[in-house]
Amino acid sequence: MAGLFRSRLTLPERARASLAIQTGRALTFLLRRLGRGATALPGKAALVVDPLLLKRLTAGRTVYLVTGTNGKTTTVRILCSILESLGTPVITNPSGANLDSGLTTTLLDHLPLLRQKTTGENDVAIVFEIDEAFFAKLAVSLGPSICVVTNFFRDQLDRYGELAHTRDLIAKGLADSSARVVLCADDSLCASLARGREDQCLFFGLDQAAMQSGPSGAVTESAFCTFCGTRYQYQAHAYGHLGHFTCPDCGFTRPQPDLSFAPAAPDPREQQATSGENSESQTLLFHYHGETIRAELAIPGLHNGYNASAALLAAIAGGQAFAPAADVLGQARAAFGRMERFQVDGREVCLILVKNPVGMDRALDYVSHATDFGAAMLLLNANDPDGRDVSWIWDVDFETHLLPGPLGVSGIRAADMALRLNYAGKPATELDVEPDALALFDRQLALCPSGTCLYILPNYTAMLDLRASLVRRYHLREFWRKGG
Amino acid sequence: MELRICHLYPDLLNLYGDRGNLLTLKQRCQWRGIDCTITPISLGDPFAASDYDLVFMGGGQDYEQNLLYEDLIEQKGDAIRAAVEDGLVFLCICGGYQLMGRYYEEQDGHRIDGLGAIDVRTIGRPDRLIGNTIHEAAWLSGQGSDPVLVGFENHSGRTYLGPGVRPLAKVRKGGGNNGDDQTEGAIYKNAYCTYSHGSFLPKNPAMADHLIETALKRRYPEFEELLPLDDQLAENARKYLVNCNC
Repeated sequence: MAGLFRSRLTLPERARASLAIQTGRALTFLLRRLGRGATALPGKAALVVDPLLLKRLTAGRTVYLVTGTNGKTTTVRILCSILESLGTPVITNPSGANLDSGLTTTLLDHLPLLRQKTTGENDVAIVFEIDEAFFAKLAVSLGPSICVVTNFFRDQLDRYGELAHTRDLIAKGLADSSARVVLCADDSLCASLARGREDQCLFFGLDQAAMQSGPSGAVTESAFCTFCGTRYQYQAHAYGHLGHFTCPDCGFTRPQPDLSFAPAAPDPREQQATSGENSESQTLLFHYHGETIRAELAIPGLHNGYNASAALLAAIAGGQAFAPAADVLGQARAAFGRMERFQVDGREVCLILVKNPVGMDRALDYVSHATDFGAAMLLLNANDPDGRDVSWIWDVDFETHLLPGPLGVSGIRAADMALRLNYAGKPATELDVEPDALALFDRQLALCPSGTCLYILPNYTAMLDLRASLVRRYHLREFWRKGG
Repeated sequence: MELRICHLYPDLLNLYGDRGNLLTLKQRCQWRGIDCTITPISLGDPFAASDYDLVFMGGGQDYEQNLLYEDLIEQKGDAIRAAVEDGLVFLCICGGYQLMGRYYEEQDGHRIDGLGAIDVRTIGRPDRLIGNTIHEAAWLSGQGSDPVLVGFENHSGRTYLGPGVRPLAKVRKGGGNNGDDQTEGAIYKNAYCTYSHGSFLPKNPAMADHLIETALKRRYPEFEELLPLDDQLAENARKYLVNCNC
C-alpha cells in the first residue's frame, strides 16, 4: 500500500483505512457481479469503517474542485482533457456522484493510479465536480489545491434556496482553505468571493472589447452590490448579469482578469480542414499576462468560452504553463448531453442540456443563430434531480429567440412548456405535444431537410432518458465513448 | 381600451418565474385587442396610483427584499395603502403578499413592520412549505368559472388573516397560508394575494381574466365583459397537476 497515503498515518490509522478500502472494494466487486452499477454504496460503507478515508486518500495530492451553478460538468471535462493531453493522469467523478460517498467510490475505483509513486507533472490529479450545496463540507475534508467557481445563476430554488445563500455556502467552504481560487471576474457574486483572500485568487473573464457596451436590458440577477446593496453600473455586458460592473457607492468593481478570452474569426486554413462543422466549434483568443494564444474549441457558445477559460486558468493555477495548456484545448470534447452531436440518416442531432433560465437563454441564442437549424424539440421533466418546480421556464426569454417552425414538446411537464411557448407567441397549431419523446424525435427528425440539424433541449432527467433510448436504438455507445 | 400595469420592484422581486404573471396579463389583453402597458417602478421611483389600473408585486430573495424595504415602507407606503382602500386592483405573490400585511415576525420574535395595507400577519418558521398546490376558490364558480387554482408554493412564513380579510381559496392540496386553517391567500377589496408561484396566472386563466376585468370595469364603467379565449393548453397543464399526485 506504499504511496497510497501521502500523509503520515499511525499503524492503527493505516489498519483502519486499509480495512475501509477492502470493505469498499469488496462491495464494488459484489455489486458488479450482481450486474449493478456501483456509485455510492461502496464509498458509503468504506466511510463508515473509516470516516476520514476520503481525507487520507486525497491528502498531499493535487485536488481540483469545480463548483458553481452553470458549466461545472463542461469545465471539469475541459480541465481533465487539458491535464491528460499534457501527460497528467486524472481521476474524476461521474457527474451526479458528488457526495462524499460517490467521491470515495471514485477513488476506490482508481487505486492502482493512486498507488503510483510518481511525482511532479506525471503525478495523478484529482478533479471533482462538486454540487454547490455540498461544497462547504467537502472543501474542508478534501483540502483542495485549486477551487474553481464558475458562476452564480438562478437555479431551481426549491433545491438550493436563494442565490446569495448559495454564494455564502461556497464562501464558507473557502474560509479556511489555502487553495488557489479561480473565479469569474464578470460575475459580481462570484468575484465577491475574493474579498479577504485576494492573494489566493485568479480571475477569468471576457475581454471588455468583446462585450456589448452599456448595461444589458435584462440584468435582473444580482443587480445590487453584494457588499453595500447599491445598484451596480455596467460599462459593458456579456450575457445575463455577466459584465463589467462597478458599484458607484463602495467601489466594488469587476477585477482585472488574469486570463481573458475573446471570440475570433476562424483561421481560414482550420476552417477548410473542418468545413461543414462551423457551428460545432469556435476560435478563441486567450490572453494571459501579456501573452496571446489562438485556440480552437470544439464546443460552441460564448458560455463555453467562459468554461474553457475557467478550465485553462485552473490548469495554470495547478502548475501548467499557459501556452501548452491552451494549445491542447482543441482536444476537449463536449460532455455528456452538453452540445453533444451525432448523425442519423444524413442529419445531425444535437443534445443541449438546459437546467435553468440562463442555460435555456444561452441554448436558444445558439440554436436561433445556427445555420444548420432543421427543427427543435424541448423536453421538460420535474423529477427530484430536475427540481419539482418548473416556474423557471417563465424566467426564460423565449420571446426574444422564438425558434421557427413547428416545435416538438415532451417530458413529464410538456403541458407547462407548451403553455409557455404559446404565451411567447407560438400558436397552438405549431406545437406538437407528445408524451413519447422517442416518437416525437422521429417526427421532428422527419421535418429536418437533409444536411440540417435537429436541436433537442431537454432538462436533466429528460436528457438521461432520451439519450439512453437513442444510444440503444442507434448503437451510439462507441461514438459517444470516443468523445471521452 | 388599455390596461396600465405597474410592476413594483421588478429588479428586486422576481423569484420563481413571477414575471410569467405579467406576460399572461399582457398577452390576454393583446389577444383581445386591448392595449397593455407595463411600467417598472423600483427604488427611488415615485408611485402615483392614479397612473395604473393594476399593480403587481412578486416575491424576492431575502437580500433583495431587505434592500427595498425602506423605500417601500417610507416612500410608497401611504400611496399603496390609500390605493388599496380606493379599490385599485393588486396582485401580490409570496414575499409581496407578506409585505402588504401588518408585520412579519421572525423566529426570534423580532417583528418587521409591513405596509399594513391588508390585515394579515406572518410568523416565520424554520421549515418551508414546498410543493405543487391545488386550491378551490368558490367565488370563481359563482362567476361561472372553474374554481380550481393550481400552483407551486415555497415559503417559510405562516400567514394568518385578520377579520375583514377573506381567503382567496380553500386548500385542497398543499400548505396554503399557514398549514393549519386550510386557507390560501387573501382578498381585501380588489387586492388579491397568494403564495402560488408556478407561475400563478398562466395556469389559472379565470383568475387572470377576473383581474383584468375588474381593473377594466373600474377604469371604464361602461365595459361589460372580456371575449372568451381558447385556453386548451392551460387546461392541459391544469389537468396534469390535478391528476398527477405530484
